[in-house]
Amino acid sequence: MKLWKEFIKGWWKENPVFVMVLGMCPTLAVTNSVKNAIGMIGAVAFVLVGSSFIVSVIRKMVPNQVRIATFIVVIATFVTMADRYLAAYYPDLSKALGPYVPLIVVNCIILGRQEAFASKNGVVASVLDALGMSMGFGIALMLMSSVREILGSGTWLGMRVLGSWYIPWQVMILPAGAFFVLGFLIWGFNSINKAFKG
Amino acid sequence: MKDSLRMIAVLTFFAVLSGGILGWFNTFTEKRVKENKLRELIASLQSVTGMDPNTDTYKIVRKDKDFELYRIISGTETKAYAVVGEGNGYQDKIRLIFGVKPDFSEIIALKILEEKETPGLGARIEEEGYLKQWKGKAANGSLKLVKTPTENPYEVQAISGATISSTAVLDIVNKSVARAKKLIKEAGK
Repeated sequence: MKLWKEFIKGWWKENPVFVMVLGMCPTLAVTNSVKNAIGMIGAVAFVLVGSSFIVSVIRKMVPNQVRIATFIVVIATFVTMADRYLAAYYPDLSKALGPYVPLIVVNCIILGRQEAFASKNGVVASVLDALGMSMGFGIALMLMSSVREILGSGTWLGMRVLGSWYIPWQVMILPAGAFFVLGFLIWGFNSINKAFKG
Repeated sequence: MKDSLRMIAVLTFFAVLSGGILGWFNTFTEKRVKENKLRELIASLQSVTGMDPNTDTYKIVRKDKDFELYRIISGTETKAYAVVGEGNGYQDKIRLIFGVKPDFSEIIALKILEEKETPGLGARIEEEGYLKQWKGKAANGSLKLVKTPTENPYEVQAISGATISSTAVLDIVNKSVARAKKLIKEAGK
């Protein structure tokens, strides 16, 4: 029961993007199309689950003073693997994501989970926590990119959803659009939370 | 003393382990990454020079970071040259490739390889409507930008609202043509 809680808390209650407001760099930068967002979600989930697993296994042998440095080495290893894998098997996606894959190393969601959870909890709980947080990140990115791609290009995952009468709001796929959508989604998220509490 | 030794030992251990894993992982991906790059290059050469990958070959004349020159060879004759050029656009580097006839009389086709211009404005340099006008333009290194549709082989029409991006493409082409000509002349001597 407690483990289940660790898994689902990232979806809504502690959603890394909308509640903790972490990992803003990929959230704003790669959500201009659903395809890019899916690539980013996959890469982040792989890195997060992999590093949470390793960190929770090695947590007792790492001296406290060098823990952050060690976590970063672990994270960077997974990120480099994800980056090389994308370059080899999905060259188009790798090109579209550009520097944002290597930048996962400094994504606060990942280092934050290692520091706040994986370094203090067992392997099973840490992996479930990482999976849940990846889900929460995925939900956030899918929402952001769906809104932006539909309004900004009239398509969803490359398929036309709005007829030819629709004139795309180009601003939605520009950086400014990312801030608009993020603002509205956080507003919505908080309003729903408040309504349920009250 | 014991503590610092332990810190050094643990960190070194993980760094070495990480290096080892990445080196091992790289053996799987390196070959495919290289193949992808080669496939991409051949596809670009094909689209800008009309090279037939089954019968024609290509030779690298020059390969720098911001300039590449390829000689497309059909049998023993030079069929065309392909030039890759790079320069500053409105937001970031623009990288493009174009094919020219072997005597540098005209440009065969132009293709944008990389750009991060404004969507809807500068990014329209990737659109077919803009790119097709480059066919048949003079490869003399002194093309000019105009605002109206033009049939003149010495003029290129700019995209309205994207003068900076249009100028950037034009400058890259002019500069690269001049550089390619010089290189070929030197090699011919």
